[in-house]
Amino acid sequence: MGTISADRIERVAYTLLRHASIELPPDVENALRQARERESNPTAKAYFQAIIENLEIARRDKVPVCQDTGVPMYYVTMGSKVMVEGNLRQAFVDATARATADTPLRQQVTNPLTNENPGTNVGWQMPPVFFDYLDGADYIEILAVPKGGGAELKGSCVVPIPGAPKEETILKTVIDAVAMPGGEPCTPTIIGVAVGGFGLDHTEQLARKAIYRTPLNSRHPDPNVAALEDKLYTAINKLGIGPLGVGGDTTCLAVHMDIAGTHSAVFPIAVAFYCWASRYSRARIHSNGAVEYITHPHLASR
Amino acid sequence: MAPKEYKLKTPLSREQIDRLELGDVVYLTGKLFTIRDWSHQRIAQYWREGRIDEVPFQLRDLAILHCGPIIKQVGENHWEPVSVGPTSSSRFSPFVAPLLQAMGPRLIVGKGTLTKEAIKGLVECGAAFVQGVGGCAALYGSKIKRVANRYWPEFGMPDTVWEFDVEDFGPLSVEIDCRGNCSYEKLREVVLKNNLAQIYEELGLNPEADFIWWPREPAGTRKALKYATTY
Repeated sequence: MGTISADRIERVAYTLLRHASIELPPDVENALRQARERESNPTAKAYFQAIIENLEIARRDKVPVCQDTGVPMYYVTMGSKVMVEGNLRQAFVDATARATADTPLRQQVTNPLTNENPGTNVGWQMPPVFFDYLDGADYIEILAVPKGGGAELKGSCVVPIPGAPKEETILKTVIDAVAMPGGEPCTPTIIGVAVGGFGLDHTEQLARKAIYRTPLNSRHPDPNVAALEDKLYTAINKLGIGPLGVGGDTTCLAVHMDIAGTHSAVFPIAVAFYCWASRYSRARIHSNGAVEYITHPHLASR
Repeated sequence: MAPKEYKLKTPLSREQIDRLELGDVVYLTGKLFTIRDWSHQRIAQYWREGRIDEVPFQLRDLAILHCGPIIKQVGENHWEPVSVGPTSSSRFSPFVAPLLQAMGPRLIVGKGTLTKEAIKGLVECGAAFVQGVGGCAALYGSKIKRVANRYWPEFGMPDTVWEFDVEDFGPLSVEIDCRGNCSYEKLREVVLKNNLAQIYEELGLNPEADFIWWPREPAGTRKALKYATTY
């Protein structure tokens, strides 16, 4: 049983949040470069060119890729063979406030009733930290996600009529959910889909987490799910919305679907989006204290 | 007709805006002001209350940017741009005509569509709407030579009105011209009528199908209680 200090967790969470805002995961950046290469609409191609230049400037000057650095949130997996010494929840509060000041991130977490803005992106139960537990693991895994509002708010969750034909319902619901907002979630998006689960927040959470699957565009191990991912990926790119809704060949960078057991009478369907600037960074702190930066390995040299 | 590229300098003339057509690309040099949720509301309020002269800055023949930027304070009245990109414009639609009438900017830089009511305001006031590539805040930030001033800092950083001196700020694509032609409407036609119909057909989906049980209409909308009779 290894012990990890809350201090170390704070430092890793700080590094992940700060860096996630500045540099995309390599497979997301590659997908955008490939989209530029194969784009046939000249305006869309110019848009992808601007996007790639933007990524290079952000990396060079160490500034946020997009000014909506979002509401920072974390997904944390605790291994059963690891213990934490110190105040775990506070570590994420401190990391967020520090990264907000240093990067700097946009100061946008406010009181929903009074608009009071402490300028730290923390307060009133923020940041959200979603904890999970993994039996047998001797590490803590942290995923930092500075997710902006534009894509986040276009997500939805619906409950189909009991007995509705499954495949048709899933396909039409997801395709319609993508067609409706057009380019507004800053297409091309990574689309997360979840079918099943229970309690609409559970289904929505599964859809959101599916977005962060690595490598980008990998298929679900269940062949039924993978077949739907394939059909949706092809269909959505035929919508022709293109980058930022100017028309083009690439409307989504990937479709990741997940399923979970559900109430036998109903199967909720959730759709979640991340914009082309899909920013997230993952690391593992092993029980011996070693930190493995998974998304951005070069962070290890700090 | 092949899209043209324009390098525009403020102050902007009616003739320059008249020439812009859908798909043209603009690079802007001169004065650019950020206007976002709270500044739109205050300007509309002052206009309504007949006290527009209390607005501490001028926008006539200049350009505005729908944006909540990240700005770093480096000295007493000295700021540097960190990350400056366009935000979604659709929520500002009710404020477009009041802003144009009250303060007369010629160019709005934003992202995504505006309502018909807002487009009417562009036509009546002789202004155009160009789209910045959303998310390219490092690229656009690098085209800001100087943060000249700020107004209404009590709104907090994202909603403060920031005055930028910009050089070759772009690429910006013309999406709504001053005659009311709107590229988003055109694309919506193509996507929803042609492309979507074809996708439904290839997948064997019935376009008229209504598979959803809940929600029928979201709570808080006009039609929310339409289905109240089910209980």
